[in-house]
This record gives sequence, C-alpha cells and structure tokens, in this order.
Amino acid sequence: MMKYKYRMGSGLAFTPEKDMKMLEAMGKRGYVLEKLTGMGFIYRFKKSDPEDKIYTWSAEKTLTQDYLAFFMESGWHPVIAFDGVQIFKANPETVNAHTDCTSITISLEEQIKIYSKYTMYTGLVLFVLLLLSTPLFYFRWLGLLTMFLGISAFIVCFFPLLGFIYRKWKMSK
Amino acid sequence: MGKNSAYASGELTDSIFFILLSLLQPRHGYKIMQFITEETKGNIQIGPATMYTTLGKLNKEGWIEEVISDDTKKVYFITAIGREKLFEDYRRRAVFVEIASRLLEVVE
Repeated sequence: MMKYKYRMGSGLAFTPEKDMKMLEAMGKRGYVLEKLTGMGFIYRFKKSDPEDKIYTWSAEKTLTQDYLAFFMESGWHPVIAFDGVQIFKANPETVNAHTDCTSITISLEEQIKIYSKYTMYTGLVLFVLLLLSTPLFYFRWLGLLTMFLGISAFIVCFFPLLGFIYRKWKMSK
Repeated sequence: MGKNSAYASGELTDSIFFILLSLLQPRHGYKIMQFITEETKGNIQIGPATMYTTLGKLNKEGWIEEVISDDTKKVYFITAIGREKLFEDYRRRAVFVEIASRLLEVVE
C-alpha cells in the first residue's frame, strides 16, 4: 500500500468546489490531505484511516489568528494555512463556511484586485525579459532559466486571475 | 462592488441584517454566529468565511467599528450609520410583513 498519493487540482481559482469534492472522496478512501506541492497545483495525501469529512477553502491574503479562530470555533480545522490559500476540514454536519453570495462576491473582487496587480508586475518583468532576450540568450542557459522563471511567474498569477473573473461572471448570471 | 450591492442599495441581505442586530451589543465573531443561530432557532446560520468577509466590509463602510482588538479576537459594535441602515431595512421588511399579513388574512 502506498504511503502517499498525489493528485492534480483542477484549479482552486476556477472550480474550488470540484477540488473539495475530490479531497472528500480521497479521505473516504483512506488518503487524507497533507499538503499542497508543485506551486500549489498538486495535492499530497497520506495513507490513513478512512474519514468522513467535508472540505472548504478560502483565499485570505493575510492569514491572522483572528481569521483562523473564526473557522476553528465554527468546527472548521485548518489543513493548509498560508497567506493567500487556506483549506479547512470539518465534520459533515458543520455549517458551510460560505453561506452568502454577497460575501463570496466581495472575496472574489478582492482576489481580482490582488491578482490583477500581480499579473501586471509579472507581465512587466516578462516584457523586460523579452526585450533583453538577445543578450540573455547569448548565455544560453541564463536565457532559458530567466525565460522559464518569467513565464512561470506570469502563468501562476494570470491563470488564477482568469479563474476569479470567470467565477465572478458566473455568479452574476 | 456592483450597483446591486446591499451596501449601495441599502436592501440588506439576511446575513447583514442579523449581524447588525447582533451588534447592538458588542460581540466578537463566534458570539455573533451563536447569537444569530439561537435567535433564529437555526433558520439562519452564517459560516465563518461569510462572517469574516461581511464584518470586514461593514467595518470598512463604517456601519460597525472595532471596540476591542487583540491578536485573536476583535469585538465589534454598531455605529450610528449602521443603526440608521438597520432601521431603514427594518421598516422595509415591516412593510412586507404588513402586506403579507393583510393578504394572507384575506385569502384565509
């Protein structure tokens, strides 16, 4: 029996509900979420006793004790807790963490604002790298490395931004 | 925030209405959730993500204010603007109830 299993997420910014259902299903099969790897795209599960838990997520930019206390007092326990990404689990009868569309919209608007800024900065860096590509590629590996880092940073910011915009658009319909 | 937002229109969502009602006394997040669940006999329950976001927004709009704040708990209290918004929405809801009561009596 494998001690760890890995699963690719479908994108927390696009379809968080789908990811949460996957985490619940894995828990029932005896693989409990342990951490996020691969720049936040891959879930790592540890072999354990099967558990019947529900999962939820949030994207609070700056994680505080006050924020965690809200969840813990409501029965939601943090599994992943970083600035920007949090995943909680709870017993099935626990009240959903998101109970009002208005607050979800506010949260999405904040995410769009934050990720627009990140996308602009990383886009700017990528643009400068493209301008400097000729001298950078004079040293082949330096060129490849800086381009890889620049494109990766841009993708990591741009795709979540698209996801948040898509979800806000879907909610407004 | 879109033009249909509760904050812009003054038509409060049930969550905002009950959060403001609960903050007629100073309370912190979990106590607000407990108060609402008890008062509505579980008919309205507010989750922690919704509660945290809504309190932040109400605070930013100046409808509530932090009266005690430490690392783990912030205690909020309604402001004069918040009371005004709450009372406006109470009157709006009271009109609905009055109309519904009258019409339902006619039907009965």
